[in-house]
Amino acid sequence: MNGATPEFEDFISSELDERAAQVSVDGPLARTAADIVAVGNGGWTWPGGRVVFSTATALVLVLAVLALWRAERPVSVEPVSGGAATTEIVVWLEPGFSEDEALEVGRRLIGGPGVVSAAFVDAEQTEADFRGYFADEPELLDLVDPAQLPLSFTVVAEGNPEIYADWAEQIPEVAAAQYAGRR
Amino acid sequence: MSPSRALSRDSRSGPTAFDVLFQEEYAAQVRRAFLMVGSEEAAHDIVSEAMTAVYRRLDELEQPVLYLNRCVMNGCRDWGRHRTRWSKLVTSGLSPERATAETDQDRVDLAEALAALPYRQRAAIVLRFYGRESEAQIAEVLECRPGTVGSLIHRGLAKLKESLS
Repeated sequence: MNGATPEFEDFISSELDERAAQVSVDGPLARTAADIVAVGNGGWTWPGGRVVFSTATALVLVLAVLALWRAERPVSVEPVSGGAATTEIVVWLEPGFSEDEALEVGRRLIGGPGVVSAAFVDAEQTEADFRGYFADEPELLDLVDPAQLPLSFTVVAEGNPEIYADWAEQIPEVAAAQYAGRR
Repeated sequence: MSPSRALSRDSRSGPTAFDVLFQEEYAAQVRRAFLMVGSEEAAHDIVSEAMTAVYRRLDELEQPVLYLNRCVMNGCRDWGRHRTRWSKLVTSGLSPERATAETDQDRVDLAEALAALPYRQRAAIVLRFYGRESEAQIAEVLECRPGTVGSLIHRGLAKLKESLS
């Protein structure tokens, strides 16, 4: 039992309603059906000149670059099987584990459903990855103690990545498992 | 409500089926996306991309609203997967003094607790308790079994309760 009473569920509903009601749906950020039609027929910018899909596209591009960068520097744990139609899942460990402890968790992670391989992202790589991503935000970099960044694994698995993510999140040392793209 | 199959994009005879779909869905989808990602700008971008995808395939979609729901939630997942990774790093990488100070200053509220949930638990909670969707409808959007939806909601509520207590 999660102990969530009907009263708690009502509380969640009313809080979500209240928060959603604060969103402006017809302000300067809003698009019209005509905007969508213009872009859908081949346009590249929303009216006003803003490049279409700026936020989402930028994030996807950053993710793609990071994925390529990681792929060039994998620290392999152990390939388990071969196969096609694989996806990549990033598994973050809770912070505070040593690399040896993390590798022990990694040996459990490769026992999950559909796993083809798992690459350990060590502390050095995590810090470099982080510094590269936030290179334009030095104030943020100053706030972060690199030693506290959590370690992670990049797992390649066959089949629905959500099944593996759900499985991995049952492991106590795992903070989160996130689908990160097709392989 | 779901517009019927084989919707027309032809605007020569007045408002098109796409216009109707847009009017019925845009605001609600933006609000839903906002609850998922916590950014109004991102919510508008995500829903606009989803609406564009629907517009381009409107003639062939049997259930355009279901397709729109999936596009929006997938957009939220794709937007969040990288951002969440690094916000998790930033949060856990704060110096102990700084982290303690921030914890003391800012009580965890529902938005933060929701943002900390894994994507599928967050999606199930938003669809169930904001969208008032049934478990069967949520299963269609998330493309999983209804039993899985029940488990996602159960675990999501437990984590929210823990975070908010």
